[in-house]
Amino acid sequence: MHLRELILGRTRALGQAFVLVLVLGAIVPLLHSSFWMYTLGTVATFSIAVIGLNVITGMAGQVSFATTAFMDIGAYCYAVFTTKYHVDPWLSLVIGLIAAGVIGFIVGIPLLRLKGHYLALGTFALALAFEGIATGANVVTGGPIGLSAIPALTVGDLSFASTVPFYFLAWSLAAVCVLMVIRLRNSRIGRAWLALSTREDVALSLGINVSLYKVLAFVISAVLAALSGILYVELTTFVSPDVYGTDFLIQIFAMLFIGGLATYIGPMVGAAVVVILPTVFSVSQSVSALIFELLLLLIIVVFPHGFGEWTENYETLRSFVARLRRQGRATGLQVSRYEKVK
Amino acid sequence: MSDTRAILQLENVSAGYGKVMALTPVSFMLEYGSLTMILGPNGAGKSTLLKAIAGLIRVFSGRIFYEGNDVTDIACHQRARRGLVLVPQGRGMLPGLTVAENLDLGIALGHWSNSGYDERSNLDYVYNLFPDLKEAFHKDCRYLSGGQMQMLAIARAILARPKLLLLDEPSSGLSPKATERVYDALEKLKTQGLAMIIVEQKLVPLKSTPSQTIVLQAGRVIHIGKNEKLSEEELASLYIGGEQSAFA
Repeated sequence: MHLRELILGRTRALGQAFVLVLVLGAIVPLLHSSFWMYTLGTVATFSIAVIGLNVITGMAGQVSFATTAFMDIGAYCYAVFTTKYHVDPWLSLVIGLIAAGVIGFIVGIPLLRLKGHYLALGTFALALAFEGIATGANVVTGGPIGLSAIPALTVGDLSFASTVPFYFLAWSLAAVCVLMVIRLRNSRIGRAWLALSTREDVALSLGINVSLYKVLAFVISAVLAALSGILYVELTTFVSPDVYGTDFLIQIFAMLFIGGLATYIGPMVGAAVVVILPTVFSVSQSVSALIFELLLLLIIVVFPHGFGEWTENYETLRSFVARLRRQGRATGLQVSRYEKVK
Repeated sequence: MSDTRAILQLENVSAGYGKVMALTPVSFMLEYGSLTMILGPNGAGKSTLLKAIAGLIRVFSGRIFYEGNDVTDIACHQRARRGLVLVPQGRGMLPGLTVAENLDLGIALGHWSNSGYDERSNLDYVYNLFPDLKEAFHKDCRYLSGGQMQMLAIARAILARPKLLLLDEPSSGLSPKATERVYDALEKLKTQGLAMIIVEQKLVPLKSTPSQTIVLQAGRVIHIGKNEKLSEEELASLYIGGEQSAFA
């Protein structure tokens, strides 16, 4: 079999996972619940930022805390251009994405020369800096109060500010992002990312321009974060510096690790857990937070590589079941089950 | 000034890590199609020398000429694209990638380095050299045996059609049989005119005589010999007592 055919074969298998996401996404509207559509629309929105974070951190192996900075850039570009300059929302969206990409490229070149903890600190400083700019630049950003009544994206009479159209828009974009990441991961770019994240010396000795591929991953991550930021503005018609603050950064990382690093559907699973769990356990705010954090802890302990690995790796699932069976035998569970059947 | 017969020439090259010098100034020349063995115990500076040649670390002093051009300040990936390819220590496997995907990285480098690169014929060439890889084509590389991993690392480099191949301890952690198979393949590459520098700690089952043997100890060259095959005893006494004790 030819090399390309085998690699494409693997891509096809992952394409099936993509179709599964589409199907799952399409089933939910049947529930006719605007609450769930809103919640799941939020899941799709955040999962786009997590997909971007997964590209730079999970695939290219560069720990970046800059996601919220680029969400700010996208969201504020969109909000400022639509409200202050009355630019068409679609054009504002494109401007927001381009701005994030260009800033990501310019900032990424010096920043990605740093490694390990220094890179993490550098990107964290970037996130704090943009939060500071959003708060301080009153005239443009509205300061701590932010900007509100931001015009929505429309197609004819259809406004994407409504829950149902937004739901479809967000999930379609999330699906496109998953597909793009699958294609990238299975291309030479993806293999180069894997090489540089595993062993940079190997990547270099294979002629891979490590700096270029790191910056590429950073720019993709920035653009996806900006898209997510813009979509959330679409959903809330509002933006302020608090929206994408440090708390939210922690949540984004929780989504990434719960979903699983370097997985395809993991970001969606992680976003779903972090967005849906608190709403399910919303008895009171303090109890909800406590239950949510305990559940997060439990998930991370039981599934250290995240859920995404399970959805994409049959071998992992099989070995987990085998391990449970072995443990069952050792503790006598097997015997009790046999007696039950009898 | 570089020698026109030389594919690689080092002039007083010293290198190290941070401020620590791991290799004192060394000079030698390597001709097209020739084989140089670099031997030395742990911490002798062998890998440092290879990394300096490949461009993975900056040299402290001296110049490196490759095909007559000064490449001292050229980045590692650019040297690789010019045909100076390193097979790093530890085989450099990329877990999660199949054998096919690993080979594809070599093919990518082949496309960057050579105009009119023929993917099919290069793959066939590699399969003839390492038939094991054809059978394990879609296997994740982490499930290969040590010998197969080493073969894959060499095959990945060979696919790039290098002019000079640098191998850092290719026999490390291999059984004697696997070492012999790897070295059989390397002998074939040598007869086909590929210039190589092989770094090893101990003597290896090499049938042909290397054009040059360099012995390093504690970061300095203690022996350079042309067209010679060192015996175990000679190497041991070099390690213990330097040049004079071995050839007294």
